[in-house]
Amino acid sequence: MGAIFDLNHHAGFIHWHFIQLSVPNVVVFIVMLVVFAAAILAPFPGHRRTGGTP
Amino acid sequence: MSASAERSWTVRLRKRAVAALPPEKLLPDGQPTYVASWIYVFGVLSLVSLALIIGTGTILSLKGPSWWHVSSIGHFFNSMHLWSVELFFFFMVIHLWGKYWMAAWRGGRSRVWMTGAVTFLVAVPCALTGYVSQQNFDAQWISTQAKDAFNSVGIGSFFNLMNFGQMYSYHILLLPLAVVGLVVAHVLLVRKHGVVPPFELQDKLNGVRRGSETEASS
Repeated sequence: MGAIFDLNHHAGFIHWHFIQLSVPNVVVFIVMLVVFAAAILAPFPGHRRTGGTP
Repeated sequence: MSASAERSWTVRLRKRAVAALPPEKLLPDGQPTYVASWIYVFGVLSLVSLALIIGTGTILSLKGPSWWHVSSIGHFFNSMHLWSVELFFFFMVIHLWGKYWMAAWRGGRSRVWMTGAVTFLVAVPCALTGYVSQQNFDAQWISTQAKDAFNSVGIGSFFNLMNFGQMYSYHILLLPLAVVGLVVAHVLLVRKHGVVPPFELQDKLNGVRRGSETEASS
């Protein structure tokens, strides 16, 4: 990881009023939202939807 | 079975356990078709991460700080332990979001929801005590900051973040025991009650149930 990102200084921060978040935390949070949306929308392998009835 | 054997606590406990969780419910060979969605995968991913955490943590506790800070294999297990914790929280929070929007406490599943929610709450101090048990400058910084936070809410006399021995005991014994115990209870309750159905299906099932009740009463 250290080879990809320069870890020899402190992380950048996003300030918005009283909210203060580090950029790595914001990145993880966005990735979580993307994975959550993908988990709901992406089709599951080997399963076809048939009108929602089990 | 004799009358005295019937009264034995082991027999009564066995009967209660089998009645609550018959073998076909405990280890089912199939799941309803609505479980075929990626959102249902995150509970199992959390379990796999937890198994990795316990496995790597056991090795770290056996070898000690001088090993995990100095040797390359120690670094490897230290990193495995950290990243499995990161993934555990990542997967567990997505699992929690999914279950929250499904209202997974429906159909008598309140205890399933509560054991899951409390597991999350207990896992947070479990991770915190790990960060302060690293035995490096990072741990010193986190423990002094967290000490101020704990003192500000008046619980600093019970949990001393600057006491490595206390934090380490919490991290490798008491809190993992609580997390694993809650997770076992959570999984057994899921097995007992089954995976929560989608809203539309529950409405249909309730309709069928109401219909059969009306038929029976007429």
